[in-house]
Amino acid sequence: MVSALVTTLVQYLVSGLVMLSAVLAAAWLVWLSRDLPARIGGARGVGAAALALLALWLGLVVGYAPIEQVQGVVQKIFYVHIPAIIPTYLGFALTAVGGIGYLRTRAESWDQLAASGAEVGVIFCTLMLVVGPIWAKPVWGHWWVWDLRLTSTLVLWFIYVAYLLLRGLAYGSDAARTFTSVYGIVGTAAIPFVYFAVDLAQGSTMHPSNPAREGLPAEMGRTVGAGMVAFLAVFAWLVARRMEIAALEARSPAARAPGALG
Amino acid sequence: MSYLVAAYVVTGLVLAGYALRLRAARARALRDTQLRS
Amino acid sequence: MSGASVARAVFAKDLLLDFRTRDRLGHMAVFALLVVALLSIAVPASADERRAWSPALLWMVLLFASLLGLARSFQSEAEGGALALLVQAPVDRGWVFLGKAGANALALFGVALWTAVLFTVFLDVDWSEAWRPALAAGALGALGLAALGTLLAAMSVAVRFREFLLPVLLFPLVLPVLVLASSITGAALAGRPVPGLWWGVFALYDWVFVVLGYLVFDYVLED
Repeated sequence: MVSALVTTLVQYLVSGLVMLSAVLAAAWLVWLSRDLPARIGGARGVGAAALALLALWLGLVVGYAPIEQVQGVVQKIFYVHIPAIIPTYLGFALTAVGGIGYLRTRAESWDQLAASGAEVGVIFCTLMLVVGPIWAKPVWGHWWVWDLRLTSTLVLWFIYVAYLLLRGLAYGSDAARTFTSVYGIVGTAAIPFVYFAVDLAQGSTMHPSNPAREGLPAEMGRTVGAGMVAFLAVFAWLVARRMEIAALEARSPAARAPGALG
Repeated sequence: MSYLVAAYVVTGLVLAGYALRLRAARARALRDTQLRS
Repeated sequence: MSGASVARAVFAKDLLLDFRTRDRLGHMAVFALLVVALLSIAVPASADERRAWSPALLWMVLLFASLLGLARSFQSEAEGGALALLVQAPVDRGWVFLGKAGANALALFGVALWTAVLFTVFLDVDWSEAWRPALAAGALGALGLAALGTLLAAMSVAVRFREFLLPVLLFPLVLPVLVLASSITGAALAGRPVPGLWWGVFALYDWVFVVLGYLVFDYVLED
């Protein structure tokens, strides 16, 4: 009975830790964007931490996480698929926050936050869409399955791409930044409805039901938790670097499309 | 097993690839701002 | 000059334009006719299959037709002058959005009704038992589509490749309209009860994007 309590506590601790990390990462990035050149030094520390966390996570995946009975070793893709979820959503959150910030203050730094959030977010979203099928093929026999998570991630990806496309096509003018801010806001606002719609349309789902609700074995929980925190650190570091580039480009005489890395 | 490796390798490539692109862009941006000053 | 009167003015002007010129409505109606005709010729489906697919197909047709109407919403020459005048009105420009979105919603609802008729004629869809929920779904769907569509059309007018951009921007965000409307319509046609949750979410969706459109239109019109 005590061990069950400890397991539950650890589960809550891990998810609490992950939630806290997500909020901290987002807050740090917003804080960073307010005075970029001066504050970018901290990113180096985050980068180093990210590397360390990645190493820890990989170690856990290889040595600590158990081999699942039904799926075998392939199940360990779980530890790279799930941690990519929070950065995907966090990217949208930053795009919306940046959009609101820009509309209200017209300060370019908010727009840079939004653009960087979208760019890094789409990377993780694409990752999910690539790793998902790699997992689906050996387990279910199909490369693509129209289940809840994969389908809604696909729609999210479309929204990301639409945002980046708008940014690319409308570059330069102040109106462009206004437009992308607006789209970032409505795009993010649509997400819960999209999720509901996909769920409704699917009826039943092929996806393994959320293991956390079924009671994930502690080792799995800790490993995926470590992965989540590691990916969050990577996400934060990448966004910080991307913002720094945007800030530098804003001062350079070369005419560069915001949002394009060239 | 190969699927497992593929998944992790792809992840590594994508993230590292993007990080490298950022590094190149940053170097270029630094150069451009220094040219100005 | 109050905000509501501005909204009413825009709404009335747009509707008047629609009825006088019959351009927008006519084009959307003909487009729907063409697509439904092609579908019914090309799709070799049994009556049961048709009944299963009709709701989603109907809303897809509507989605495509809406692109024609929405793009036009900000494009006419008279538009430029009239809009510039309205923008100067000392009133929250969100009201202009409400007027325009309202006119678009009504236009889309009209096209939805027309498309439903087409589906009866060409695809043997029987609305007699299902018309009440279907009508409500049509209204909610038209409103949601019009809210987001008006906002995004206003933005895409000023950007390159707008015929390509508008659907790319719009379609992922209106997926909920497509799914909710066709699910409700499908359930109604099959004689099944429609869960209250669906209505609630649909209404919430419409409310969210009408309000958002109203709030941000100020910024959008500064172009």
